[in-house]
Amino acid sequence: MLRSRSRAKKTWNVFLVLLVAGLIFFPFSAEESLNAVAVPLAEVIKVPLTVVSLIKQKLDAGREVVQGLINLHDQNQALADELIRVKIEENRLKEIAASVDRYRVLFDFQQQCPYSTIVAQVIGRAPTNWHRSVVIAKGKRDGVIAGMGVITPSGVVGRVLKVNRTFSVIQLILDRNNAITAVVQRTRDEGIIQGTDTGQVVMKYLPPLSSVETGDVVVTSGLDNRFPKGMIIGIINQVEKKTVTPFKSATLTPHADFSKLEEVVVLLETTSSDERDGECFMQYKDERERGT
Amino acid sequence: MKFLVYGGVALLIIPLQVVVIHQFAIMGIIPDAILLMVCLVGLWRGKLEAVVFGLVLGFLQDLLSGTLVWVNLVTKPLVGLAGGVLGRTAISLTSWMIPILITGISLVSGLLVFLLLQTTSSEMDGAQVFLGTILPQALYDGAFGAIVLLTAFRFFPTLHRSVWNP
Repeated sequence: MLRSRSRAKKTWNVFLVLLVAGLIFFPFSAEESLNAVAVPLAEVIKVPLTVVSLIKQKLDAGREVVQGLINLHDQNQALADELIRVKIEENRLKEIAASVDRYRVLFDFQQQCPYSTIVAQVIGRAPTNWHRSVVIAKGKRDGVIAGMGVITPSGVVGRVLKVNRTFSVIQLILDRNNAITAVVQRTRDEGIIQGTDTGQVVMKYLPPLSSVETGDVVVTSGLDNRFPKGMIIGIINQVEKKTVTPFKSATLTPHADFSKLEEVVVLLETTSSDERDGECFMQYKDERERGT
Repeated sequence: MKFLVYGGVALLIIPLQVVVIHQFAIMGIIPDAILLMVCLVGLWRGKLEAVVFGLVLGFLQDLLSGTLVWVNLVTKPLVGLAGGVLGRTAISLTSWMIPILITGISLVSGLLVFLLLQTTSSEMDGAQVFLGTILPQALYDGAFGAIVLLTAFRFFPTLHRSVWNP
């Protein structure tokens, strides 16, 4: 048994030696014969090789695309975050720019006004439906006293009703309890400006023979100590003559925009030495009418 | 602790009423969150707490409103009292009855304010004030109360149980 196994092993060894020797000493002249077999074989091999190569290329390309998409998603997310941040910043800057514009107008207005004034920010509105008022962030410590007139570059706003140390309540001209002596600029007819329950502004006690008409400008008369003479209150849009009273009355469109009150000017004093009452106001009115 | 909570609520509700609530104005009418708060305190916590709370909130409200007459100082404790009495006597107080109660209380409160202001303010047209201010305000207060309650119950379900199963 052992002997036969040893013989088979020897036979295999001889076969291997002959095979190696044959390969080593195979004549180069047989290359052509080998090529004749190799070429068609290579053509056959080429097909799966090409297919596999193509698949690999496609897979590589696909992986790149996927990687690109992942990167793109990350970039997109980062850009979206950045866009939100920029938009918030833009809104903030727009708000600041709008505030600067408003303050510039108020500053110019203050510079041109011959009266001592103080700019106050509106921090709140009437907490009930019964009164038309706003709360401003200036009080006693800023020199505000009850009764002082409150204006904007657009027109008369109202008067200081209550004063605390750091804030004050302004009664608007829309309030029914407010009353300002006024004069129609064209006809010089005097009357009293009052608010109504519906939030309108009316000019009462106009002379029965007054020739006031729609479009006339109403300004402060300067008879009370709150407002200097000539400050714009509003423009008449309707004239009435009720039978129960001998006086005429007129409904006004206020010149100041009460829906957008953000800053107001408190008139700390209404007397000036250079007699330019209402001049700053009229200049703003003219500029506004010219659309500048 | 209770005083701190009421103080905190007062410090929160007043700025809300003066600054934020105007965003919810419909046709120039704003809801009275202070009335709503006092009324709810009355319904849930009883008349004594509501009257004191109403007194404080009414005072603060008048401090910031454009009138020299302290109408809210008078009406808000009464609102709290009404809320407290109704909360105790109403047998089946369902969640949908609360806005109706608030509407009713706001209506009565508005009429009281009108009567108080009538003595000091000039030329108030009763019908115009009722139709233009009191009624819309009462309806809005009721609707606002319903929205606030539904929102509160949605986010705090235990609040609902504690109110109707005290």
